[in-house]
Order: sequence, then structure tokens, then C-alpha cells
Amino acid sequence: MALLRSTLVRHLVLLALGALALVLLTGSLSTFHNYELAGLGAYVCTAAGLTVLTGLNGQISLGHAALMAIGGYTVALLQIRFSDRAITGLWVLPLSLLAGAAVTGVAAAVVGVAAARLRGPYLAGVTLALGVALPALTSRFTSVFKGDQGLSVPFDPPPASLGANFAVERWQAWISLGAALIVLFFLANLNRSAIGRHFRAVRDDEVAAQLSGLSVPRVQILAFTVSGVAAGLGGGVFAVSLQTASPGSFDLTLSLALLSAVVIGGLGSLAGAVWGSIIVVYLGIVLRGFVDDLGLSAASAQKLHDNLPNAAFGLLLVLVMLILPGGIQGLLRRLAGVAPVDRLRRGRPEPFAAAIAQHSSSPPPSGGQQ
Amino acid sequence: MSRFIFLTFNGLSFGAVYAALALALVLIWRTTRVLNFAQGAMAVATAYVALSVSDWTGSYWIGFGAALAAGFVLGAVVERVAFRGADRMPPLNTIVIGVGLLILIEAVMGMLYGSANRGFPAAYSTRAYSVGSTALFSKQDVFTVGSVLVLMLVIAVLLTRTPQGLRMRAAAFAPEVARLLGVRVGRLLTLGWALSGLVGALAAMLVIPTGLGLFPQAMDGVFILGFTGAVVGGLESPVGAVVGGVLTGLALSYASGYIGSDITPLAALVLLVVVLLLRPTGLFSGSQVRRV
Amino acid sequence: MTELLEVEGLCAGYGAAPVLHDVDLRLAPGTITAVLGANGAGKTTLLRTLSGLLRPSAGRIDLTGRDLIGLPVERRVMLGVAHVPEGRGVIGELTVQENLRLGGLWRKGAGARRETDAAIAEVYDLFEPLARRRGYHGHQLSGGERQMLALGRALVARPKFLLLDEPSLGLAPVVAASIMALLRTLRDASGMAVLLVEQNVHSALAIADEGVVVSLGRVVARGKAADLQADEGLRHAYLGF
Repeated sequence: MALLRSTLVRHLVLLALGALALVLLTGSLSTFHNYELAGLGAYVCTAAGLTVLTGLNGQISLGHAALMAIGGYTVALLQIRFSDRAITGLWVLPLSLLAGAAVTGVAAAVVGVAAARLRGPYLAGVTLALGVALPALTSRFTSVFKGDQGLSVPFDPPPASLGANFAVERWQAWISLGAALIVLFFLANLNRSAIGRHFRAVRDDEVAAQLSGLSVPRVQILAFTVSGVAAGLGGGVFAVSLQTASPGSFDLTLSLALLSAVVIGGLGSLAGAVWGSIIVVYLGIVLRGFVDDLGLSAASAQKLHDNLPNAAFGLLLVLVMLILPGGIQGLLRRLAGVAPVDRLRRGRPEPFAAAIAQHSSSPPPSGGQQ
Repeated sequence: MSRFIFLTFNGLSFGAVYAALALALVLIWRTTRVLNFAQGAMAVATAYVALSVSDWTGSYWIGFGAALAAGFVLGAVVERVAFRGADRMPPLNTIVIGVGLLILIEAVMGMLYGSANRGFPAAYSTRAYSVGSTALFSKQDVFTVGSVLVLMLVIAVLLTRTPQGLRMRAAAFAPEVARLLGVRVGRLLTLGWALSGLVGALAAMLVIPTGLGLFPQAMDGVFILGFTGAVVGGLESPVGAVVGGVLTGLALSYASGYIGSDITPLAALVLLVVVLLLRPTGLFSGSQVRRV
Repeated sequence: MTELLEVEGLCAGYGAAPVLHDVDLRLAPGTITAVLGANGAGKTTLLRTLSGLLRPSAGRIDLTGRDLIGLPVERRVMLGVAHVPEGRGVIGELTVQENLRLGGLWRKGAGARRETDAAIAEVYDLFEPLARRRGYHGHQLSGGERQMLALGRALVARPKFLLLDEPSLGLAPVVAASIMALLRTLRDASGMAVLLVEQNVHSALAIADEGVVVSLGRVVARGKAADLQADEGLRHAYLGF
């Protein structure tokens, strides 16, 4: 119990430090960099949830942007209603974001029910199909979702108490990174809890997990739900940072970029999800800047500008898998002399995870144990 | 009724393309347990090769042949560089490698050719013959179905009637036993990937001219339909893949014809999920139990 | 007599775990050598190392004066090594005829097809039941027929050195006995050296010329088969009868 409390305290301290850093950082950056930070927050939210699903629970998703879209569109629809009725207040946007996360969680649970019966490439293929199909729905129900153009996301300006000169981009960065910090805080505690052990036990050995009394499908559905809530929140803040929810911003490219982030950072590690998101967001910005500085002809500059970042992520993805399956976090651990967690290459099981899960002191809330 | 007939021919034509892509996936899956998520992107790359070669030589058919050759080479290179030793990796790693290649290849095509949709001519007229007011099928449809049939026959003969085919099947079913009998399993895996690349290239050359157009992501949607076809057929058998691909083509042709063309991705998802949940071993597999 | 196969100081294992320690072995042409020992003694590992499935960490393997170390499995097959693995390795998805054809596909050159066809015909003569089931798939065969097919497929290569892993496992005693008897005939007819791993110590020593007892990855005894069978201390210590 003392250990649990100290972990919680540690995570709370980290949360507070993160919030402080966020306030200081956003204050010293230009509005444009704050805008980039807002996008980063959305990546971190979703990647953190994806790394729990794929890295800790062993279920791959190639369509997480579709889950983000559900969150983003929910927030957009609600914010439009609030705005139409001229309802304002500091609680309005958080309420929409929470609703977006909740709706996405429910949708993810439904996906999880199907996913719990699928493995490996089958799950990858189905989530890929989902990632392509769901944005297409927006053009099917044009009256609600406004087709390719998408919905605008109105939200209140920064509160007056922050000062008259408080930039809206800085406010968006606060919202987005604040959401990311909250997601990281909850997921970090979840990973240390019995549920986190259940996730890992199912990933490592389904049969052993089942024999020790876990309901494998329930654990898998729960993992999908948790991941969906994070993706829904990520999609919500993404829509807020873009001020629009459109199919084009939640396409396959985003799904694959998210996978790139968690793999490059190190699957299964929340810190890795943060690293990976930073790399995916900022490597793209740096490479595009680099191309723009080359002074190429307009046509070739455009081609490189649009595609060089993706080429880099694709190459990184392949190289990481072949050379460094633990990603950045695995590399850092190896440099620090800690035993590597690159279970990806060796498929190394945690033999006692299932047993520990069974004897864990805290009861799982989902009734995972029979 | 006339609409139904048209949709049936349309479905057969697209089904032939999905069948080719499904076959490309199955050829690799059964030998290496890799589901190659880069298959569609590799096929797009070969279509760009065709574009360049045709521009350069002025001959459509030299470009067509170059695409098939490029598919063969690309398949072999991808296996050697990225998937050597894939049998010893967890499935997740091979999926991620495939996705990485997908992103990389599409991005490289974008860098070389730009992201815009390039018109890509069909080999033959795409205007449908009609009887009375009933549109039936076009010359291009006949060419599509015919060339896929021919390629499949060639592969079937290769696999079942030649020593190399016997080696390939042995390497697929029992790699270690095959090695003990003197079969160079590694080379045959490469050959399997090369063949798969060639089949995928044919699929791209047939589907891109039919209104899809050529852009780096052109085959993303087609890949999902090919995957659906392979899953419908059970992933294990080349014959199943072909039948599954054709059925997928028909199902989607009816769905888009009677409901609306924007429904296609959703219809593919529904078909995929229904087949996987109700008949996880595919519609045509025998009694083997499969973990999906 | 000049040796067909000479093994010296062979060490091998899986990853960091060594299984075989310093194994020496000499096989003359036209002889059967039984490898005996408890489960986990390293018998299968020895066979896998000799055929090239496993890379040894040290030692020398000479087949008719040619060093096999470093050669991949496929090259060793061409030099006359045939290994019938544990569980027989019949490919269930292929027909009897295809399984047999596979046994000769390593041959290159003009006469390859003819030589393989001749060898397959001999195998059908040797194993009547197989001849009647040419078009059957491997998984449709009985255990005895599968063993015949596995052995026959190895013979299609006309090997100089045959490695057999537990050929009688799971077979009815009568069938096992007939296969054992056949091994003697083959030895006399072909002049090949046979290395036989067998759980059934009695039947193995009954047909073998030489015997090698392996324990914990080391050769602890060797000699004429008849002498080993008569050595009571050895029988108690290692062979359990």
C-alpha cells in the first residue's frame, strides 16, 4: 500500500511539474510554435492510448485515427450546439471533450468486442479497413457531417483572467497539452495497477492468463476501451487545435503516423509514446523547413515538402523493427544498463505476470477475475 | 434486371483484380506467415514504372511489361532487405515492417512523381458493349478478366507441374524437411515474394486505369478489398484467394450499385468483419482450425 | 577399413546452452551404428548437427575426407547425407509420388530426372504399399506407411550416410520390426553408413553393428553392438534394462 501511495504521489508530482513546464514553455513560445504544441498534445493523447493497446496488451490498430475522428466530430457537434444556443463558460469545452472521450470509449468497446476474436494480421487488416471506412461515412451523411469540408469547432476565447493579450494558440496548447498530461497521468497509474498487469499477462500468454482466471476477451475489450477514451480525447483536442473536424484530418496517414510514433518511441512505454510523438511532429516540421530552405523549383519543393517526412517515418519504422525493436525507450534502457524490454524481437514472456495478476491485492474494476 | 447484369460483369472485372491482389497476399502468407501490408504500395510503384517507361519508349505494352518485371524485382528485393528472417519475428513486427514500407514507398513515389492524380490510360476501350439498352462489359473488362485468368493458370501450372513448384510447395509446407531434402528454402521464399510482386503489379495495371487514376495512395483501398478477398477465401489456399476475390468484387459491385458508391469502404469493412466473425477460416477452407 | 564418416571433438547447443560436448564418432561404410541414451541425452542434437540443421560451436565432421563444417544442409545433401527427422517429416499436403520426387530434386544436370525416376522405382519395389498409394496425400497414410515414405524418400537420394531419428516411434511392433529388418538389407545392398537413434534399445542393438551410448551430451561408452548388449553394468547405468 505504501508503495502504491508513493507511486501515486510520484505521478502527481510529475503531473504538477509537467503542468508548470507547460505554462512556462507556452509563455515563452511564439503563437506559431504554440499551435504546433497543440497538435503535439493530440498526438501524445492518442499515442499514449495506442501504446497501451498495442505494446502492453498486444493488439495492433492501424485505424486509430478513426477513433480520433469520433472524438473530434462529437466535440464539434456539441460545440456547435453550445455556440448556437450562446451557452458559454469555462466548463463548456471540458464537458464536450469528456463527452467526446466517452462516446469514443463506447465505440472502441464495440470495436474491441470484434477485435477480441481477431489476432495479428487479421486485426491489423480490420482496423485498417475501419480507418478507411469511418471517415467515408462523413460523405454518406453529408447533412450531419458536412462531407469533405467538415465541421467547424467554435469555442470560447481564453478567459479574461489570463489577460487581454493571451493568444488563442497558447490557449489551444494549454487545452491540448493539459489533456495529454491528464491522459499520461491516468495511464501511468493504470499500468501500475492490477489492470495493467492483466493487460500484460494477456499479451504475454493468453492461455496462462486464462488459466489464472482472467477473462481474456474482457481484458482485451477493456484495453480497447481505455485506448479509445484516450484517442477520443486526442481527437477532441485535435479538432479544437485545428478549429475544424474534417475527414481529411483523420485519414489513414494519421493512423500510420500514430503507429510510427509508438513504435519509434518504444512500444508499450508511455515515455516512448511522448518521444515518438515529438519525433513524428517535429521531424516533420524540421524536414519541411529544410526542404523550403533548399531553394528548389516550386514543383520539386512541393513534392519533397509533402512527402519527405513520411519517407523518413516509413524508413524509421522499418529500421527500428529490424535493428532496435525496443525503440528509443529500449535504447535508453540499454544505455542505462537496464535489461532491455524488447520483447518484440524475442517475444520474451513475463512468466510470472499471470500469476502476479491472479494474486494482486486490488480487485479489477471490470470483473476481470472470475 | 439490366442493371443487375451490368453490375455482375462490373463485379467480375473488379473481382479479378481483387483476386489477383488476394493471390499475391496468399502466396506470401502461406510461405512466411507475413501479411504484406506494403503489397498495394509496391503495386503502385510498379504502375509508376510503367508510366515512365511508356513515356520514354512511347509504347504502352513495353511499359506494361516493365511494370510486371518491376513487380517481380521489387518483391524479391523487399523480401531480401526487409523480411529476411521474418519467420522468427513476432507477427506484430512483420506487420509494422509492412506498414513502414507502405509509408516509405508511397512517400518516395510522391517525391518522384508528386501527389496529384495522373491520368493513366487503359490498354483497351473502357466503353461497355451493350445489347439494346443493357450495358454489359468493355474490352478492358475482357482483358482484365482474361489476363488475370492467364496469369493464374501459369502460376497454377508452375506450382503443381514443375520441379520448382514442387520445391516451392515443400518449402511452404515444411521448410525444415525441405532443407533436409536439399531444397534451398531461402531462395524459394525470395521467388515466392517475386511472383507475388508480379501478380500485385498486374492488379495495379488493371485497376488504376478504371477511373481510379494513379497517385501514391491509389492502391490503399484496393489493398483492403484484396485483403478482404484473401480472408473470404481463407488466406491459406491460392484457389480460395481467387474465389474470395471474385466474390468480394461481386458483393461490392452490388453494394455500390444499389446503395451508393460512397458505401464501398464501409461495405468492405462489413464483409470483412462478418466473414471473420462467422467463418474465421474463410468460406472455402477445410477442417483445419485457424487462430485469426 | 577406411572410415566413411569421422567426427572429432564436436560441440553444439542451442543459444548459450551447450548440449553436445566433445563427441567423437567413426562410421565405416556398410555398417549400422546405434546411438543410445536417455531422453535429453543429446541424440537428436547430434543428428541435427551432423546434417547441418544446427551449427556446431567446435569440432570436425569429415565425410569421405571432405570437411562438412560450414556447409549448409543443402550442400551436405548433395554430398550424400540424408536425414530422416524425428516425426518422419512426411509432407502431408503432398502426394506420395511428390514426396518421393522431392527426395531427388537436388540432382542437377542431364541425367538427373532419369536417375531419380529409377531410384523412385526401386523404392516402390522395396515398399509395396507405397506403390499402391502413389496419388495419396501424405496425411492419408498410416504411421507405418509414413515411415516407409520417409525412409524411401531418403533413399531416392541414394545417400552414403543415412541418419534416422526414432524410426520405430509410434509404430506397431510388427511394422517396426519389418522396418528394422529392412535396414539390414539396405546396409548390405548399398554400402551406406547408417546412424540410428532409437528408443527401443533391444531392437536397435539387434540390427546394429556398433553402438554408442550418449549421456548428458557425452559419449560414455562405445563398442560392438553385441558387447554393449552383454555389458550388464552399462545396461543398468544408461540403458535401463
